[in-house]
Amino acid sequence: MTKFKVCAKIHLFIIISAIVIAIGLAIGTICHFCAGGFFNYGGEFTDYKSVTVRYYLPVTEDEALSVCDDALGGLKQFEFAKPETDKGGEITYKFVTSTDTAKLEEAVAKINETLGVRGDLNKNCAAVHTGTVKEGGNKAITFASIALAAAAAFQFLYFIVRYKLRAAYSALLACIHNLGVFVALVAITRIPVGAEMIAFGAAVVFITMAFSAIFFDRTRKNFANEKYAKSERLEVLDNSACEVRMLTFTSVCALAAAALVFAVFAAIAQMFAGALAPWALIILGLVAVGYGAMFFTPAVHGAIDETCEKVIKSLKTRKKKKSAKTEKPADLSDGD
Amino acid sequence: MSKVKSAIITTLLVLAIAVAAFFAVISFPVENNVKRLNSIASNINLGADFSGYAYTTIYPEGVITAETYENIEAEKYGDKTDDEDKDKQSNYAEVGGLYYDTTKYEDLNDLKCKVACDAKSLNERFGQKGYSSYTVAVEDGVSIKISVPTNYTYAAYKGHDSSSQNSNFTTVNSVLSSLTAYGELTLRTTDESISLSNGTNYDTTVRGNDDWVEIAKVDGKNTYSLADKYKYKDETEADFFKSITSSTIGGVSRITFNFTDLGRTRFKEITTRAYSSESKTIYFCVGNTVLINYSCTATTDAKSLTLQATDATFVENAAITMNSAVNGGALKLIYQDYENALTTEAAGGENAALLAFIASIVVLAGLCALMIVKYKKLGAVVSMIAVVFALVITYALFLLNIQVTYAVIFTAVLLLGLFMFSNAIVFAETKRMTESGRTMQASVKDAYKKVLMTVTDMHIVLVVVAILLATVGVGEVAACGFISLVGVIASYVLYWFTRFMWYALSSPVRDKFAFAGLKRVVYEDD
Repeated sequence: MTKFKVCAKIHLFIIISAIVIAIGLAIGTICHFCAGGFFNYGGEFTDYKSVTVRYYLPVTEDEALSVCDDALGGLKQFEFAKPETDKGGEITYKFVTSTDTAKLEEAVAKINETLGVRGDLNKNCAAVHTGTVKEGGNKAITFASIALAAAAAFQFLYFIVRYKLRAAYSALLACIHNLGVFVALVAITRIPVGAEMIAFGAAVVFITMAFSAIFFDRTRKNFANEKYAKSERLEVLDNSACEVRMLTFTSVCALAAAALVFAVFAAIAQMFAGALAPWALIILGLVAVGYGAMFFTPAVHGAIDETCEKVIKSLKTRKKKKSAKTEKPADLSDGD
Repeated sequence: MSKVKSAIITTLLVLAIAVAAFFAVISFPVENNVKRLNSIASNINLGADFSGYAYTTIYPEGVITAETYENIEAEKYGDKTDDEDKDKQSNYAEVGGLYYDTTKYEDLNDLKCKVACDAKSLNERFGQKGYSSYTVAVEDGVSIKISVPTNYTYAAYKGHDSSSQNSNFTTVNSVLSSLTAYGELTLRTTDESISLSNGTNYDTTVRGNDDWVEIAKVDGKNTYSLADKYKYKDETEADFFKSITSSTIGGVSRITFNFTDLGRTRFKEITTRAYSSESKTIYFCVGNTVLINYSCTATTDAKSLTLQATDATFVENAAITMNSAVNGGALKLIYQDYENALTTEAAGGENAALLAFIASIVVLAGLCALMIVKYKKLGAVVSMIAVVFALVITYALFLLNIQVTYAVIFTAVLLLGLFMFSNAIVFAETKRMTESGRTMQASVKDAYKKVLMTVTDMHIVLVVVAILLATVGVGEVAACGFISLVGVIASYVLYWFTRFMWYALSSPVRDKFAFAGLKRVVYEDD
């Protein structure tokens, strides 16, 4: 893997990235109109149907739960809460909106029949509700975007000073690309998305910037290295990419392994697969960053560098030609 | 460095780590009034994933739950069981799992529209609180359910710290009750000399003194809001206030009322009268909820009015609610009295926080093991500093009151990775140097010199990103930004501390190559 030359395969990486992003956008757009959202929004963003059961002492929580479990046995909830009060408690089961209301009402009737004590003011009571969630997080997304745009602008300026304009362009492109691939992968995989998605997006940009700094620093050092004095620029870039690839790969794998450890413990804590969602998002982010840092960024930087060199060369040639043209008549006049 | 110096430094560092780690993770009972000394880790604020939500449902007047409906009907009809008869006489009609008063709301769709509109306003208000996660949901079209994180610490969540639990619960309830205040913003006074009211006949007084129409009167239990009825034609609160903002700097919280030109003139008139009155106090109310009061010590003639308070949460809540009210976000319906919130168990599971903590230790141990396997004793040095790094993050989370969520945990792991990564770069460079036949000391020196700018560049870029996320971002992003800022700085400082410890610990060792898990390369003479 450390010998894999990426610069020559720029078209392949552009195609891969374009396909991933296009599929992500397509799926996201279709789902936006047909399945309730660009992403598969998690519990805090989705509409729901719920069964709320209020019970009062002497009915205990265990009794109430056992009655509810019996009645709602065949129905699969995605969220469950059972806060207690000094008089009893409230149990809420949340279901996806496609759940049959008739079945829920049937279950509620059963719960009411078992728990309800008519004529008592402290009546145990269950009811079916339909909840429409107001989309939150708009402000968080706006401000995070402003912060990330400002960070990218700073990185651009800093890289211009430290590693030249072409590296700054490549780093900016790397940030946009990695974020785009991450968003596309989330849209494709339909992993439930919560409020943490915004922070994970910021983390993707954060890691990309760190890896970009490492790669461009290595590139700059190699260009200054006598060992590469006679090498082609693309070869130097390829070698630089190879040199940092193992470090990048190890780091991404270590972070992914850490995310897996957290995922396992989260699954143990919650005892259902939904607990894995945030960690699955992190792993998708790491895939996007790993692919971007190891393959896309060096390849794109190679292409940008090559284009810049060509432009500089052609400008030089033009300048030479121009100066040759202006010098010729001077020679003639001298000869005269 | 001599062996003795090296031993002293190592012992001091290990002792410091042990003490810091002990207080960071161990909770233990003590024999005094405190009863239990909770660890730093168990005093870190947790997000809803780890400590659950507090939620409340607000119902407009005339909307009741099935339970209340049954109680009303049972009281009304006693043992009557003829449902048809009941339906005929009942004022309430069913909507989803709730009931609404048909005499109060003839048009259900109109009620639903108003509730949806109010939910939107509430969503905007709660959005400004910077919660890591929150939900505003319209239930059955006629009630609004609001869930916010409890912000409990692990000790409070598990009931080991009841005072912190009570304090957090009170804060949550105060936020929910303040932000759900309904009605327009009015300025009120209990002092007749300010309102120029004779206490019985408001109409005459107000009509006779148009300048004072926006001041209403609070009279004991009965509140009279005269503002709506007698405000100038087409004048609204927005005509008086541009915005109402809050800020907290150095423990002092401020609420600032930014006036329009008209508002400035009016407020000058009001304060002129208030200053010469007996009570001198003006109350800022949203609906009937008094949010803040202002004691006039002078006539105010400025573009803005800034009031100070000590309770940051209170000031923030008041500012958000009043700003919403003056900018078209006033709740359109009258809601029933606020009921205390109910708290749920952690969204990530009952033991999510404990298991996340164990997972963090496993990850730290795994990374340390990886470094030790690869770099032998040098790996142990880095591992020791990594523990210091983990402690810095733990103490920072506690001291900066950062709410821990999945994203914050991942950011902390990422920062630990950054620290390890920075060291791995320099170790790889050292290895490369030693392979060219240099001595260990020369290799280390050159390696640090060579990667200096790489590591510095990386940290400079990241520290700026962290500052931007912390200052511009809100909620979870801001929390990640703050911890990133601490982590990036700690990573850079500890990177150099690792260099020092490498020097201190390897000085007395004879085979410095073996110390770093490297092999000496000997070039044979031709």
